[in-house]
Amino acid sequence: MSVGEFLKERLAALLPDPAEDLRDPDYIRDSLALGWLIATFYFRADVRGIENIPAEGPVLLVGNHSGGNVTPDSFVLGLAFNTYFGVERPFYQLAHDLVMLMPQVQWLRRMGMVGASPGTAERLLDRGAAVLVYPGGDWEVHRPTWKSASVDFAGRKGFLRLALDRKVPIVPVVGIGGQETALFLSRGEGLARFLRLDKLLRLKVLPISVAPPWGLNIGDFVGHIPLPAKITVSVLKPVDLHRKFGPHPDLEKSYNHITRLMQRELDRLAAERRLPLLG
Amino acid sequence: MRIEERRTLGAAPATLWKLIGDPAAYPGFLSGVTRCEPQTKGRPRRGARYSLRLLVGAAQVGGVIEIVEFDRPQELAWVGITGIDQRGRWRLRATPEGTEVTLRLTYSVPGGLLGLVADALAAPIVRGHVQRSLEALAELS
Repeated sequence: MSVGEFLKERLAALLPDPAEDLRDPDYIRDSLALGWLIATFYFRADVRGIENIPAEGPVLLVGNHSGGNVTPDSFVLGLAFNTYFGVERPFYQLAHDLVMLMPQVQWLRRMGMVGASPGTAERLLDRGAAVLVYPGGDWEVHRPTWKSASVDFAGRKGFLRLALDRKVPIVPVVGIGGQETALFLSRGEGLARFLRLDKLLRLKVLPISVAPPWGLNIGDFVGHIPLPAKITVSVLKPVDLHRKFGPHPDLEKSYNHITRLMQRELDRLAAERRLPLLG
Repeated sequence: MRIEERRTLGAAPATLWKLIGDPAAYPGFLSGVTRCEPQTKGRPRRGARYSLRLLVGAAQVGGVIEIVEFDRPQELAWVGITGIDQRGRWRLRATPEGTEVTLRLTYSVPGGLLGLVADALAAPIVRGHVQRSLEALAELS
């Protein structure tokens, strides 16, 4: 067994069981106050169009992702969802394996975070849950700060196959401000390739940023303290791909349609912003 | 936390009741209310339920509410069935000048000590909504 294979095996053993559902509505309810305080007074969050999410039934929320490994956009959306629809409505967030290894993961799992392993999202949608996915994942979340107003899913289309297979609507969610919570300098994709992180951890990046309390922050493995940038999240109207493109939608066309809708909204939100951090 | 505001308006109680007595109309004049949709069939009455949301800071809070008092044209009260613990009450009392209107919102954010902090910091926002709602009611009547 090579060193790489050994490490991969060891890390896989550390990952929590994706089938284990730790989401706890009572715990989420008790966390609403802290979430509301942070979202309202620290991030001055503004969530628009939450009512566009269908009132019931399974739905796939598809977001652009920002903020490094501490993602205020998903935090703000989670609060908005839970206060609007109630903690009784099942809401899960898919996360990268690496996030599932972070120290605060137990708290996040009780809030509804699950590992994005094969079969997990399908199982949750079949149970009628709302599932949030960030197709751009580690690639998008570590993009440089000056590319804040850019939707970049890196061509990943798994979310489309999921929505088509399970016949659930896609609700695009567009956020801005997260990429101002630190100074993101580079994804460090060359470094990640050199260290074979893509093979070992499915990591295409080894991000480099400047963030408190570390200063120069390489990897962002244990997170950072996000700067208090204003976070704006806009929830768009649901998209039914079968209705839009017929019984067998073309993946490329569907991908272009969703990302174009999201980029247009992100451009609009970016045009509203006057100053970094302040919004 | 209890927020209460009172105004004397020139209209008669029966006139004001036309607005106050139909919660489905609240988004039209209650500041911060983003939706209030009937969840039960029929006219507003004791036992009728609505899905109500109020924008407070970064979140739209609320849930399903149920009318627990419906005493035309004097008193309408509701309690929250889902969402954060909350109650609301309209009181209309005829006076020589018209009607003394009281709007009272009582809420409690879960979460222990942090819930109490959130209660207190939300109070100015909720009070602002209540004051603007009474002003809007005065204009509409």
